[in-house]
Amino acid sequence: MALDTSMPILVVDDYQTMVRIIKNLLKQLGFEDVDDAADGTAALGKLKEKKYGLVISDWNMEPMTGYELLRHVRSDDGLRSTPFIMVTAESKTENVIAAKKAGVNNYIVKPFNAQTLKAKIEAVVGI
Amino acid sequence: MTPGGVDQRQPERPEPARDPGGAAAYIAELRAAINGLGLLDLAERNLGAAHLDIDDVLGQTRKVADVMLETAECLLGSTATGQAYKALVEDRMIGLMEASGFQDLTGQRLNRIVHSLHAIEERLRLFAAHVEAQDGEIRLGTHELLRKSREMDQLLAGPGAPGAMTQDGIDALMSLAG
Repeated sequence: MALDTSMPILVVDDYQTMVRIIKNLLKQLGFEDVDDAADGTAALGKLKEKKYGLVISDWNMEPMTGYELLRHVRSDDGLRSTPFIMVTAESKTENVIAAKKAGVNNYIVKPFNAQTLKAKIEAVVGI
Repeated sequence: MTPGGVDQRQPERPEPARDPGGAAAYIAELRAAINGLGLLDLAERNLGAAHLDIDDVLGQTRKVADVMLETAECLLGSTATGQAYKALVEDRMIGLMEASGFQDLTGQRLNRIVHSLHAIEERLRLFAAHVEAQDGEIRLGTHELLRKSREMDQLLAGPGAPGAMTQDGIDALMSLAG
């Protein structure tokens, strides 16, 4: 499956090391247009300013969590179709179900490797 | 006595109206037990130091993660070839080996935190045994209350816990319709 590597991606995580890890993995996959935001509120601001082809967001952030960001995105007419991958360190069945009901496109458990990230991105936005 | 062998009778306490002297002695004993807990010492020396140690562990691990990422970024982005690339790799590998020393520092800090927690647990157990304590309605502090309300709002909090779903389990769940 091919990937459109010119697609802008927004990485949302309050832990700068994780942002750096994901951005480096994305760079290895060929993505060059990658922005980041430290929480859901900052991400919403960026999403309003620029059209992103994919959002990769952590769940556990303050003040706005990744789950709250997902709900905002899915309730906004201009953003609702934006592909959204949730990344989290904890994964309870009820949380996965809640995220799925809220419209998440895929879900990655930390720690993950480049292959998993690639597979999930391909599953969501692969051509 | 319950079938499990646990004595659930309340400790005998003097009736203040009938035995004011006994009540005063009981209060004095209780006060001595509370003082024996060393609450200020627990808050300042044990818990206060644990906060500082945890901050230090976080700082140390963050620094090492930065070194590792810088190394990876440097090597992946390098245009050097041949001997120049070999020298660069060797230089960076030495940096990684030096950074590995963080485990010694964080190990010492974590050991101290474990000791503090044991000390706190031991004192609380001694106190509970001394006053024959039984848990009633637990009074939560502001921090605990805030955390509890946050947990209600936030479906996920904290690091991965035992029993969490694996990536394969999540994939199976995500592939289900509905």
